[in-house]
Amino acid sequence: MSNDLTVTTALFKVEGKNLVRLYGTSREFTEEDFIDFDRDIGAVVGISVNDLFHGDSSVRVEEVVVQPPAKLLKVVKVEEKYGKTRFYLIVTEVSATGEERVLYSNHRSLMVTLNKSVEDVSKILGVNEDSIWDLLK
Amino acid sequence: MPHLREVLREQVQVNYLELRNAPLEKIREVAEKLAPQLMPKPGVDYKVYLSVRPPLREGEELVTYTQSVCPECFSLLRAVIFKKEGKVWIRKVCPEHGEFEELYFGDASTYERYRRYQAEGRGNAVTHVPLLAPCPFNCGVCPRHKSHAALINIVATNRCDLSCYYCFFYATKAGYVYEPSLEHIRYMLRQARLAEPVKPPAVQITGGEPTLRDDLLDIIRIAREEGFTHIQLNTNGIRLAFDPELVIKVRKAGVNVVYMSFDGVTPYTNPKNHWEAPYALDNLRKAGLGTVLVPTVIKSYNLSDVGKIILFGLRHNDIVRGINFQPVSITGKMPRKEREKERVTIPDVIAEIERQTGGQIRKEDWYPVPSVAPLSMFVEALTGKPQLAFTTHFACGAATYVWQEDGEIIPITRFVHVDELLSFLQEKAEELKRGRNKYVVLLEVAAKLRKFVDLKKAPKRLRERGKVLRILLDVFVKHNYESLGEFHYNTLFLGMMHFQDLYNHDVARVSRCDIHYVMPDGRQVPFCSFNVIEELYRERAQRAFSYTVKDWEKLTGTSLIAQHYKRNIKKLISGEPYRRHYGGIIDVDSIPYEDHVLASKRFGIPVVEE
Repeated sequence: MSNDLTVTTALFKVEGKNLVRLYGTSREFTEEDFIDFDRDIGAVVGISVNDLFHGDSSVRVEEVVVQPPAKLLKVVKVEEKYGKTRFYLIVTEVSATGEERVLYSNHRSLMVTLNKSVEDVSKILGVNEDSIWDLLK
Repeated sequence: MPHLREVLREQVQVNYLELRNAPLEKIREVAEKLAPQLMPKPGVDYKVYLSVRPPLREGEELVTYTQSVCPECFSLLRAVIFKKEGKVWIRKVCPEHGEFEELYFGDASTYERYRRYQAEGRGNAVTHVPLLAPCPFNCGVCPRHKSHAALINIVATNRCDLSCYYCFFYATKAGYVYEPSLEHIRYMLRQARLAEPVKPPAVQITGGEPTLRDDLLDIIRIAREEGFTHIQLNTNGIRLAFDPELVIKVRKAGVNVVYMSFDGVTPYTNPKNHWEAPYALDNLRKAGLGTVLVPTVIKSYNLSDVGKIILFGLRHNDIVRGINFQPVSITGKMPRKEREKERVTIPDVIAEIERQTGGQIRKEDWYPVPSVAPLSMFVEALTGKPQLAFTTHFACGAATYVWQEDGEIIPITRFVHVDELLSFLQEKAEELKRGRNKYVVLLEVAAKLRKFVDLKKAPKRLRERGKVLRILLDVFVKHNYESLGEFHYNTLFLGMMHFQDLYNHDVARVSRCDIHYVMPDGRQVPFCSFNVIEELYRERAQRAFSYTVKDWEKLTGTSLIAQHYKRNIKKLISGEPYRRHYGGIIDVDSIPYEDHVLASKRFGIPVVEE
């Protein structure tokens, strides 16, 4: 890995007891995406748009269409060049009218172990802990 | 200096004559309703021009890019930080107002050294505003903010008994009186203490001049009741000089330390309170209340006095706990040539201190604020509980500790191997995080701490019965922080805090700020947004919750002008405290009376002439 830091996100939808990966279309990252980036990555991981300005960076946006209502799990993976890998789990609920609400996030401000996060997310989503651990690779 | 710009927009205003008697819940209701209306608006308060890349020129070495605001229109711009001629500069280009270049940090080698100590903060789990706008137009504190607050500032009043020529903040110039009710203050402090995972332990009551409030003691008590364990009072010292009973009451009510303006040791370098400071110090002594002196450093004005200010602090170390130098923040619109005459940065002040102390306090003795992050990391790893961590930007501030013995100044770095100690603690923190047994780690720390301290070179009063080692053991092994108090009673803390202005503004610094103001609408805003983009934060929020001057004067039966201080210089300079405090530091007899009077009048403070 030649980057100092790599952040990847993956989105999953709860279908029964399963988590199904959702895919979308990839496009360029523009100034219009800056606020979303800070909200989705900056607030969770601690890397903001200002940090992107500080060095060389490359960002792509994946636009995923979700049919409401839905319960979603976003997995954010942060890989440091010479450090360990961290995972952040964000659970959101999309109502029938399309409103989005965050139900859970183990963002950087909290001192929560990954074990505890997986346990909590498993209860919120009603899925097996193993199926969440399978995503964290 | 004129205001930077006239702002035309719909004013949001509360009838404070009604709200002042409201209970906390009503105040909360009003504040929560108003806060979104008071937030900066895109297209109205600012624009975004991030695609314009400022140029780098020949002979300039790129350090990094960042974001900054236009000093004229507050638009968000891309900025470049670069090295040139051994210094660090910042440049930005506004499509509407052209190029701005400013000195960012006066020594490139110190910048590179400080940069290595940058530590990342945890941010805040509780934030008061949703993330809807770019930094710095979303302050509140927002979910993007990188540090938790270590210190909360609360403005108790914008009234002041001085009329310093450069100040636009005080009530008479502002055109309104901002003075939140006690319940409103309770609401604001309670908002600040909602923070998680780390609640701010310290609050500074500031102004205007907070000692003008008759209910100051109630404000201090409210701060204690709301959970603040360290209370600072920021003051010009004038009332403290003449009211010894007030100082005792302030201490008993719960203030831990007084932050007192002190720009220099002569009437020329400190026309603000040169004459009153000795009397204030004596009253602080009688009350047993320590003080930190706060000089604002301006190149052409008092840079020449920084060494003497330290000598003054050491001379009165029995009551002066520290000196917190603040290189100037330039307010208002000022052409570049004028700014260059005044501009001074942290390395410039440090270089002058080294020169003026004959090399006794060297630039290597100073450390940037985030350098102490390993201490917090270690205690956090040991206890499993989130700890207060100072994760400001490395360019924001620096500090050291000094002692004086037999006429010699001894900085902490003479006898503590600071870098080695910090690296050791960081290493132990990593080991604990990886699961190493904490008792084994603690034993190692206890056994190895002494290798970081050269007792032979420590000041006598720290060598006695191994005091310095005992303090370190108490702090790191037993987590007994009372020992830190003992440490501070024996030393003079020297700090530097360079608050930004519109010319050297850097969003990277704003996003890491850990000194926040709590505002009347419940938002919590970093210092450099509150005071630098004051029209969008301080001014707007305080004006919304203010009295008109006429209403306030009718309510209180007094006038703003009546509270203005008039100085009796003859009486002050003939008093024994004046000579005792300045004797040996300046030649008190060589300054003609007329010079004293002129210095005070030029500064804007009238003199009683008998």
